[in-house]
Amino acid sequence: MKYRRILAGATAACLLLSGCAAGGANAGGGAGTKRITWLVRSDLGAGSAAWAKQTAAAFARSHPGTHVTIVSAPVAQYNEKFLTMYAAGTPPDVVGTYAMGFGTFYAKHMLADITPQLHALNIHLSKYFHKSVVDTMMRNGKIYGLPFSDPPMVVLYNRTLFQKAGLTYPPTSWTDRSWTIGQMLRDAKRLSHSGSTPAQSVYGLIMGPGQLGYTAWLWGADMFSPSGPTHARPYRTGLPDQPHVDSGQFLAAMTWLADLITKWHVSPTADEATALGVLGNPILSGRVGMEDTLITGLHVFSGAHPSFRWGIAPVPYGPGGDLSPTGVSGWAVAAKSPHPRTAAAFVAYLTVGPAAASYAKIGGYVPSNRVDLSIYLHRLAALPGNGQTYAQDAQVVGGGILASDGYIFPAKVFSGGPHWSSEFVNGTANVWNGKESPRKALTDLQHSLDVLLHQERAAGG
Amino acid sequence: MDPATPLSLRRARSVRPSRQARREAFWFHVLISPWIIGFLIFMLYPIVGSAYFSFTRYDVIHPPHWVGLANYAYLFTRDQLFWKSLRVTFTYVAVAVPLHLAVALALALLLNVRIIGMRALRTIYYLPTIMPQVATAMLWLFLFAPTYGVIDWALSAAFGIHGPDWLGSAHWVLPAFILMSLWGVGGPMVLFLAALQGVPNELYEAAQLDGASAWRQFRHVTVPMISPLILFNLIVGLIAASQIFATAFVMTQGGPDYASYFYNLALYNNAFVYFKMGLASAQAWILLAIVMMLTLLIFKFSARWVFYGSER
Repeated sequence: MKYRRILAGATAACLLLSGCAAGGANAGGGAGTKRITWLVRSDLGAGSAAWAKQTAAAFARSHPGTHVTIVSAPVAQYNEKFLTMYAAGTPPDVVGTYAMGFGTFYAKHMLADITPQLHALNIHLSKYFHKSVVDTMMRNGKIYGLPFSDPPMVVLYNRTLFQKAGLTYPPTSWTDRSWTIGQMLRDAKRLSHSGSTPAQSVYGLIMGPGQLGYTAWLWGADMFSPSGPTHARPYRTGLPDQPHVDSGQFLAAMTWLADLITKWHVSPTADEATALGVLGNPILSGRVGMEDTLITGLHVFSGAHPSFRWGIAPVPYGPGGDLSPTGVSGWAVAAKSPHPRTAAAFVAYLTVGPAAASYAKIGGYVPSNRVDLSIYLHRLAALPGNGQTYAQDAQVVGGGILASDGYIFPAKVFSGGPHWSSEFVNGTANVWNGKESPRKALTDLQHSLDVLLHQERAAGG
Repeated sequence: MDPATPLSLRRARSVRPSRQARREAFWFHVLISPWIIGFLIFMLYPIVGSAYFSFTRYDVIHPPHWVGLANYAYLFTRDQLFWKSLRVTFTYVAVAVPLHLAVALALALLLNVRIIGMRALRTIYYLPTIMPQVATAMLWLFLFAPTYGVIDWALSAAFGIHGPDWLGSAHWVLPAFILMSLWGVGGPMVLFLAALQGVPNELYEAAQLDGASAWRQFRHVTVPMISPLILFNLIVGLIAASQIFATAFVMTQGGPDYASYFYNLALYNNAFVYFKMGLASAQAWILLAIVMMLTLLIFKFSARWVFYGSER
């Protein structure tokens, strides 16, 4: 009996201590403090981590009675962290949509409608954002988050190689219709030459199919519509639909991309591209003429000392236009947040408040907030090797945001986007090795995607 | 206890242990309780939980919904990636585990001689085992890099051949992982080394007197004597190899063309990327069943080749 009493006492002490510990954690902001949790990425460098810390402290100072707790995870484990916190019943109040993407979070009802809170805060979104960018985080007229970063696709090119080849630089205007994929290919052929060893070869162009093959948009095709993304229902609903990767335009696009490697030899094979990129972006090797990239990719230059000058140009026109996606990321409030009003105020603070401006100063992200765009452009102009003026950079970046027309990376739009993306990447892998024809790969991929759609609609688990 | 002892005294002794015994029992419970609590919370609860979730449709966000055997039926009959990941994983296991054992044993034999600096050599061979898996993966990414990677450079320098795209080719990615698995050979090697040093010298002397060659000594003395360790390393290797995850997650994400889509990667994707925790739980239990079956089979046939010293 005595021992039972001792054990009971020990258990009670443990419970008491754990209760104190929980109380201690909650006691950070004092009684009545509204504590919100903010899930941030931990893989964006020391500057980003310091910014998060300062932002949390500054928000608490400007909003007495609040306290922001930072929880961090690298992008590869970001979803995992969010899910486990959600499953434990303690989801983060404020979460980023850069990892899994808005589409999946929305489809799973994980995000809160913050329209009323934003109205209460009297925030006029049109003052800060392009409508198409805000629309990416809206469904049925309700706002489920605010955009934070909006990097467009651009063509990054080596001006020194262009100069050596006697080529005219690509234009900086997105409305210049002389800049086509045909012109790009002609330039790439002039830039390319093979050396006696792979280390001496110069490649004119690196251009990939993009997430779910969005490069096919230049041919007017899309994975979910033979007539392009503007006609594809999934971009409005966020739900994947009947795939069409075997359509004529989609095949034409993938064949053109494969021909860059296997027929015209202006692009490196997959293994050569891996080798070129072993120390970062292949363009840093100085042996790549042009590369299509999300503009955030330019920040490889921030810590580099390139031996060449570089510039940025719009995505060229294809037979179907020049639509290309942006990589919109935003901040949203979790549906189960116990303090949705405070969390929404924090989202506003991050996207249209002082935090957005301070991040534009230190981060590599293109702010969605137009007011802060000039801060980013000044940083871009100061990057080592940039051979363009501030005005030229501004024309390319600003034009790219408008040209994307609110179309963001497909895997971020759709529910289950990562699954579709994985299927596409694996299904086309052998095309870029030259081991399979685009027609054969896309026929097989069409079958796999049909099966996937069927499985998704009747999914277990 | 003496049967002549009065019944009342016997009862009293069985009911009231000595003060010393009670004190020991108390401290036993106190000291073991962290482990028991940890086991209950971090092992038993997740095990029971995953067994339950495997019979549910559960996306983590919403409450689980009971679906009976639907997840298992779906995996076996409709999920092509399930079979693909099983094939990839057990091809890897079938090659990597025996290779691992053979190289570990060969290294142990080489390191079981008395020369100057042998302790340092043993330490060097063991060191890679304690490296974190992610660091190992990053290191091998550089080693496997096409053209400029150390391996392709060495192939080019030594034989004048252009090495393959190890991680970018569907044909070479699995051999690359098998090659990389040898990085962790230090663990079983140390165990083999300990076992080799436990083989009595008299057995070798007797074999030599009988005119046995070095190979026959190895075949008929060394192998039987260390066979329990071979069995142990085989089973541990089988379990570890069938759970390969971190290196594939960092290096290839299962590609290209799902050629390195290991079972645990598929399980992870279902759980944390595709929101199919029920399906992932079913996968976990299927893997457990397969590994358990293979282990039992190995045990069943081990009687034919494992020699225990106490056997008659």
